[in-house]
Amino acid sequence: MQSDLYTQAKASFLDTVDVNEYIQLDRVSTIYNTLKTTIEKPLKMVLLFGRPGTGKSMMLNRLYTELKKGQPIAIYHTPLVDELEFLKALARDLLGFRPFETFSFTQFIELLENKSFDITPLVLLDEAQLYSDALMEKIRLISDTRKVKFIITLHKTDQEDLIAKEHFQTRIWDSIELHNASKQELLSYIQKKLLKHGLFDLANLFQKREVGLIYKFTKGNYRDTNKFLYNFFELCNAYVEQMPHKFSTQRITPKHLEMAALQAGFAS
Amino acid sequence: MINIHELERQWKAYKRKKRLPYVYASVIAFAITLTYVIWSATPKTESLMHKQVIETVTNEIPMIEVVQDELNTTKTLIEPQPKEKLQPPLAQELKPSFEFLKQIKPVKSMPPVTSPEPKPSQSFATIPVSPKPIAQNSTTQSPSTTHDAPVLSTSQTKEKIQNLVERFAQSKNPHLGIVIAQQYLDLKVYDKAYHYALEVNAIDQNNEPSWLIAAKALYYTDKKDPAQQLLSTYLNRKNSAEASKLLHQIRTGTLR
Repeated sequence: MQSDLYTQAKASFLDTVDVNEYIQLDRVSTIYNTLKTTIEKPLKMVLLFGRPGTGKSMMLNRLYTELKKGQPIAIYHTPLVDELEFLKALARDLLGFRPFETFSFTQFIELLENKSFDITPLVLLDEAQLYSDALMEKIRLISDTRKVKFIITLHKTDQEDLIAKEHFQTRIWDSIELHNASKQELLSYIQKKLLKHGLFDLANLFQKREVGLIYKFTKGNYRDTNKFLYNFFELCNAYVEQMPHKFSTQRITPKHLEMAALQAGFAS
Repeated sequence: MINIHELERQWKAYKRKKRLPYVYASVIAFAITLTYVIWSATPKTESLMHKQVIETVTNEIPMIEVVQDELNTTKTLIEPQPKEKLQPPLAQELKPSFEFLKQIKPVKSMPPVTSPEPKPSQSFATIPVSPKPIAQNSTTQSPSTTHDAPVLSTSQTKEKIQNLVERFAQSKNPHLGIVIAQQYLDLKVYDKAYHYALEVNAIDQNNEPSWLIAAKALYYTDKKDPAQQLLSTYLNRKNSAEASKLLHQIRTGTLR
């Protein structure tokens, strides 16, 4: 049933940070390998930055999944904006210590310095631009102990770029930037994503022309592309159910892509 | 669930909006093309002399155009005639070419008083106002009107005119043009006289003899009104006793 295929395709483009949905693209793989190499260096912090939707969270998640069995590692997708909560979470996840209600930063540093690790633990902080300056300063001090490495993701905006410079210029030894996909990469991304779900016929419908139009709306941003295609397959489903005579399952028309862009808010 | 109808309506509006710049661009391009076509189709291919004379006159009265229309002068008219045509069909009487020599220096020269010129009304009674060019009329008069035919000068004169025409074509010297125009006026080849007068006027709009000869040529071809208009136009531009006198002669019919 065609509508089931579209439903399945739609689900494959849900915007989730699921490592199983990770799509291996050449450039992304290169960046990922660079990140892994960087981690092995004696760095205090690594900054992973890029525009929203360029795959920072996904990469962080993949790193966590890959490394968690081999070394102590903690990932925080949602910023822990409260200092006490942040320190308690670190103590629990890195030191295996459940602190009392009153737990100070000094106490945490003491505990950390008294703890010896075979492999330096990694702390992955997503959306670090949401952390307060005060908490960010504490993170800098924690990293100065060289007992913990931080990998931090930041959105790359002009303002956030400044934050990154101010907070990390003396501590970051390496920074890695993620970019939007090129047209060719976007084509690979869409096709691989559909093939991963066994949607071969649908994957075949996306060629340069179709992806070129999608690129026009999403500029190769992975999050936007997911959103676009989610809406596109929802539209396909609606056509099949409501107006099958006006819809061809054998090809993708610019009209339907543009309608999807309208539906998703990429055009008005 | 997506409302397909509503989304299709939105999509149509979106397409219209996207096409709008192209529509504007097309309209502008079409307008530019149309303007260019109209501009290039305007009769600017006519000779330079027409253009310049018209430019000088249009601010006041589009008189030259009227004159042109009435004379029905065409491009073919202003082209130099073959040698044979320059010569009048019959020579009624021979006269020396001293008259021509006299005309070389002065530009204020008047038609030869020695030649028994007939009244304009008599001399060109057979000339149609249109559509035939004056050149044909002046050179194809029937033998019965031989008394009105241009007076044939000596062959030496003819050669001299040709020589002057060639020199004028090369140098565009207005003095030469006036000599030629005056010579043709004397020979009663009025279309050529008019033509060279206009040629000179195109070169130098302040050249008084060019106005006078043109007016005379018009007068002798029964174009009394255009001749008066031409002189009036000139008199509006410049106070000239010679032009006033000629205008008076034309009005009173005393010009010989």
